[in-house]
Amino acid sequence: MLVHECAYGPAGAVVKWRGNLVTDEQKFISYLSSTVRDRLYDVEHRARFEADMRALATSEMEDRTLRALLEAEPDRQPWEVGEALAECVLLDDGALWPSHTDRDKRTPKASLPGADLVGFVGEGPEARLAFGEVKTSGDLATPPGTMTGRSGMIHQLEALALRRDHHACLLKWLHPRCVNTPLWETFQHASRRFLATGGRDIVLFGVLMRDTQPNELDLKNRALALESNVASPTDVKLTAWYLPRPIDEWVVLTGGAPK
Amino acid sequence: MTASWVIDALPEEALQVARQAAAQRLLQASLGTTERTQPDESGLRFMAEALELALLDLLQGAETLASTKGALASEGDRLRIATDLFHVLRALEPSGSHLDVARGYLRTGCVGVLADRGADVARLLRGLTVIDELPLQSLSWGERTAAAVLDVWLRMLRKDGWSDLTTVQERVVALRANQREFEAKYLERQGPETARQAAWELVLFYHLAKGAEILARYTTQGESDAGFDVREQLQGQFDRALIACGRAELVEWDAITRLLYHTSLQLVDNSIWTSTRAINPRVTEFVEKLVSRERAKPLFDLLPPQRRALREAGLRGGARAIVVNLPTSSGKTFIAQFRILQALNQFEREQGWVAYLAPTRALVNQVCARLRRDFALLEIQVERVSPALEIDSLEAGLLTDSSRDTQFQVLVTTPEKLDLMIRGGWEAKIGRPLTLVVVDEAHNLGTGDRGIKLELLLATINRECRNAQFLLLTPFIQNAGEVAAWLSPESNSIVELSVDWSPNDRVVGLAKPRQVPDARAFSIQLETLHTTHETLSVDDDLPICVGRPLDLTWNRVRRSNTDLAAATAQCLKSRGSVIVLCSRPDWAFSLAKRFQRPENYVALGADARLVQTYLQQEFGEDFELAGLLEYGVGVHHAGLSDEAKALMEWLFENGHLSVLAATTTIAQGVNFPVAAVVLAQHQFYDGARTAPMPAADFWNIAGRAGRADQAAAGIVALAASDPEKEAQLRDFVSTQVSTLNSTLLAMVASALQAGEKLELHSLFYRPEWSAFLQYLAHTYRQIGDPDRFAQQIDRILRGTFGFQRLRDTNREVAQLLVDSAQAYGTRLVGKPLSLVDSTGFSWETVSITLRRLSEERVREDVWEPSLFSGNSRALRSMMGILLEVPELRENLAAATGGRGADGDLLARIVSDWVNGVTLPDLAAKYFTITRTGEHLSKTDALTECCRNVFGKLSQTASWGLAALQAMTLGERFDRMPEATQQTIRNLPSRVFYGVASDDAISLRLLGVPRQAAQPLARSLHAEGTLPVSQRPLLEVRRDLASLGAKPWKDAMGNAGDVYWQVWSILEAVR
Repeated sequence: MLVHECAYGPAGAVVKWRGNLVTDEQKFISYLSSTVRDRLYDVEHRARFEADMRALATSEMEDRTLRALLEAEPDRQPWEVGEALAECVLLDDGALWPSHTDRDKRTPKASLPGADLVGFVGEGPEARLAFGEVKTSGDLATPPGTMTGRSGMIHQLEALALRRDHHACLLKWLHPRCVNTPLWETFQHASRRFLATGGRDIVLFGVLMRDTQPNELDLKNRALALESNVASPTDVKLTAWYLPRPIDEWVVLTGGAPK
Repeated sequence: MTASWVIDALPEEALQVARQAAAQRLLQASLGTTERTQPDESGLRFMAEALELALLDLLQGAETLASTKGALASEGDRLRIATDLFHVLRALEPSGSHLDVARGYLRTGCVGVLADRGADVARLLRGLTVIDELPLQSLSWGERTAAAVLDVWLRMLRKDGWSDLTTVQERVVALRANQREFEAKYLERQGPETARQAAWELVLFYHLAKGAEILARYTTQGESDAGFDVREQLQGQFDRALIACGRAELVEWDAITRLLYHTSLQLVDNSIWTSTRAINPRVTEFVEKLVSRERAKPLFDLLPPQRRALREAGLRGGARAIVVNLPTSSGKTFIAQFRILQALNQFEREQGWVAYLAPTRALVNQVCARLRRDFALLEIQVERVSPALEIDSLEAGLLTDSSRDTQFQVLVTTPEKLDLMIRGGWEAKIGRPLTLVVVDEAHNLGTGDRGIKLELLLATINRECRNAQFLLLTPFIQNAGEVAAWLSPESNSIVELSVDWSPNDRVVGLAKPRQVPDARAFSIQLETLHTTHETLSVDDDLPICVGRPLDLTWNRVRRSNTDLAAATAQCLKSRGSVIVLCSRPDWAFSLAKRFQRPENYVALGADARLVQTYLQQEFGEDFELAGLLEYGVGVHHAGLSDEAKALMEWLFENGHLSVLAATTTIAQGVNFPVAAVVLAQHQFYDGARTAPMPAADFWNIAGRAGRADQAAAGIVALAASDPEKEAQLRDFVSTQVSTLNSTLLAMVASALQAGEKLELHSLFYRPEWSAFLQYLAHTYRQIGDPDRFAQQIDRILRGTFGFQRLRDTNREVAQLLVDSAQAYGTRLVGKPLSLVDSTGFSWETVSITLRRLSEERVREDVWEPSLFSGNSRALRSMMGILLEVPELRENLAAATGGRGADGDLLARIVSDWVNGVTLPDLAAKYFTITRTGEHLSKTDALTECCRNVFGKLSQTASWGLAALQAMTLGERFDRMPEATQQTIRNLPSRVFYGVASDDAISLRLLGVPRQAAQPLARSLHAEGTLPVSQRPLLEVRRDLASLGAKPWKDAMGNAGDVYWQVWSILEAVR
């Protein structure tokens, strides 16, 4: 759990926003180097990778180039740490992210259409589908550039709220990752709510990772703008985290790949 | 509640809205309507995703035992969901880049296959350019590989002959060859953020490509990588492909990869190899031929009913009686072929043979050609015998051929002919056992005197032929199980459709005219009707067209159903070929003529030109049908020769005609899909009366509509020019499929109702009762003893389907029938009953006829070729006698064009017919003036002529003459030289075929058109040593096929070439 205090909020109706301020540097570093690091790096990579490459041989294609590329440990980018961090703090908050296990953590997350995070919040019949967008920004302007424009968080959340076929597509993605796991019941409950409401009963998370001073304007006006496009039973939760160390340092602070 | 929790979670209304919207789009596309309603696109897309989730959930559940919900999911739910999803996806056209579009269609295709609509998927893909547009030469290896993967899988679904499957294997080989050159460069060009994902994507693609290669090999060869564990091989590749999706979170590929995995397993399941593995060597060999490169349309997959038939429904286990109760286009013929092979295999040591029964001469020819083609490479001899009710010397030779190399193994004929053979002891004469009887269009069991004859034939075979098994092919009857149990209570099976599968999408609706502001114009609206057959329907009327098609006016279409039907067909024909059904041949002609308008004019291609020339040769230069071809319209009815009808079917099937105006004769003649069927009338006309078309016939014809072009559903439109007609037609379409009842029930009921006492001998004048009396006489003769007959009659009657039903419904009447049959038996004592079997007449008719022959002094010396000289007194007398025979008189009297029982006239027509007088001359001479003195047009006279000569005279008069021969030939005949005996025996066949020599009969038996038979026989004789009639038929057929046009040209000059080509088409030589 990343210890924090409330910088502003919670405020808003359908679209809620709040700011979380982390002041304890040591605890932040420790969080990065343990919880976040586990999420970012994969200790079992080698064994799984060998199996993948052995299987590739059965396709009768050559594996030399692919092996060289995929075997290498890539440098992580600060935004990747930001995403992992967001996953972790939301997990702490009760969210569940099922696709964690079969993922190759060396491969940057980039491809989920319209959502960086896909999972659930709530328990039992209260479980709902959750989709998340994460932005990491050291931009001194408020709101930062990552919040606005076509590739900005607000536009993405807006699209997420409206493109219900995208959610359903993500539901298909979750399905095999929940079947025969302890998450199956949660998946079914969340899916039932989703299907019965024509894809509206969901929670959208917007997480902004900052290394600046808290400022409610990072979220407030954008949240109000978003409010006009979203209606109950959809909930949107925007959270800005104000973190005590510069974004540039985050990769180093995680401690790097396990040897 | 369904087996799917996903479906249960969806609001029912939303699902209905989506179904309607999808149906509406499909129908609008099928009708070619330009103004399309725009359904809630995002709602449809959402529903597509939800349905796909439901489908994947059930598929995964079925695979994973742990998911109890899934394990319990019924096949039916899965099919229903897949079908709904298939419809929704077809309504949503994929958009985006070429790769996106291809992936969209791949998804649709997978779902289609999982919905058991693989044939629709193949057609959909054949109509699209999506495969051609893929960037297979892209400089980006990623794009190029994705394109190749989409290409190979789309080809696996399209399976357009061998070329698609060969291309799949070539593409995968090319990927391997090009990998080294392109892969490294492609990955180097990626930035750090995308390189790894791109690499995992390639891993995915490589596994998918390998999967396609495995499947392509299996589809073509029945094995892959020297193994039959194709499912395991596929599973290996797909498991790894899905892991790659997981590694890099390739969400967009994940679901399609899953669909593709289940689809690939379904394709393995559908493969002809899978269902036919390890049955017997003959079947394996047959499958190899069906799949082989040499075939124009190789058969890779089986339809669901075929798979079921092979796996579950007793075909493997060999139930003795099987009823295949399936609609049109469900692949019944293949099931029959498979069963035939099994029967031949079962009785190989005994050299058993199979009888394939088809109801009409045209179908006998069609089936024979198909079986010959498919079995040729297996060296299975398929022969046909003519429907003529006698065995002439040529047929006798064919039947008794004992050489293993040339003897027939499958005999195609009509039920009546087989009846004559069985009763004439031909199973013994053939010297090999009858092992299987295939009955095509077996619902005919329930209709008229032909129905009772067929029933009694099957009962006789069941009683007398030790090794006989049965396969009945029928569309839509309710009680298939009962019929199967009748034939074999202990070993029977039925093949039926599950309710969730139909061979194609179809809509049945009313075509209604509506007035539009332009006073003379009109619109035609289609009101879709709910039916019992899973056809599509939507709430709103759909516009078919507006304007003045065929220059017709509102005033005409609201008054005339024929005009309305013609206008509807004119609007629909741009979507594909259309059959317009009329109740009478002359109406079909007049309807066809409405299409003779400048906008329909087409320049004839070589094939149509050939048929046109042939028609002019046969029916005269000015034959109207020849002219109609130039407007893309043909006709098809009983008033054409068999050859002309077959040529119409051929032109229509090959796209040279866009409209075929036909009577119900088409129902059992067309076995290919058409875009639409339009009913101008829903009745049929049998020459004397009109009656509503039976439900089975309607659905048989309706079943032809469908799958004509890519996105289309088949349209069945019933023209309804006014509200009264609309109501009638709604009733007509809602008629449930009927139970197949034995005609015997109606016969008994009608006899008792008429106050008759069921004294059987007094009922002989009714043809249907004559058949029953003959059955009794035949069994009496077999038993040979009055007391034993009396004891056994109860058992014998129980062998009929009708008696069983009668006993179930009214035991008292059933007992009455037993008593009557016993009483009838006492009348048969000491009678020469072999005459009953050899004539096909009841004993009462035989006895009266013998007396009449004696009175008219017709003796054995009348049997000379001069009988047909044109002024033979004997022929006149005999025709007079035959006109009194109850079994024949109705047809014979009708054959004179309704002029009644005029023996002299009949004799003249018969003589002219035998002596080669052309059809136009026969028409001019005998059919121009009607009974009421009305003058017919040339076309109408020809129609009358053909209908009577082909439909009634040739068959009935030859049967009658053969019967009279049986009654008159005596000792003098036995003393004649064999050649003379043969000639005399063949005299009735001259009437059947309309030729005047034995040689010409041989050629007619080989399918040579009548006008060509005589001259060709001469020309062939000149070249060979023996006359044609003295050579084995097989040899003559081989010669005809190999010598080409030369002998025909020698015989007939330039026309010979036309006749040669027509013969090649009709006999499927070319």
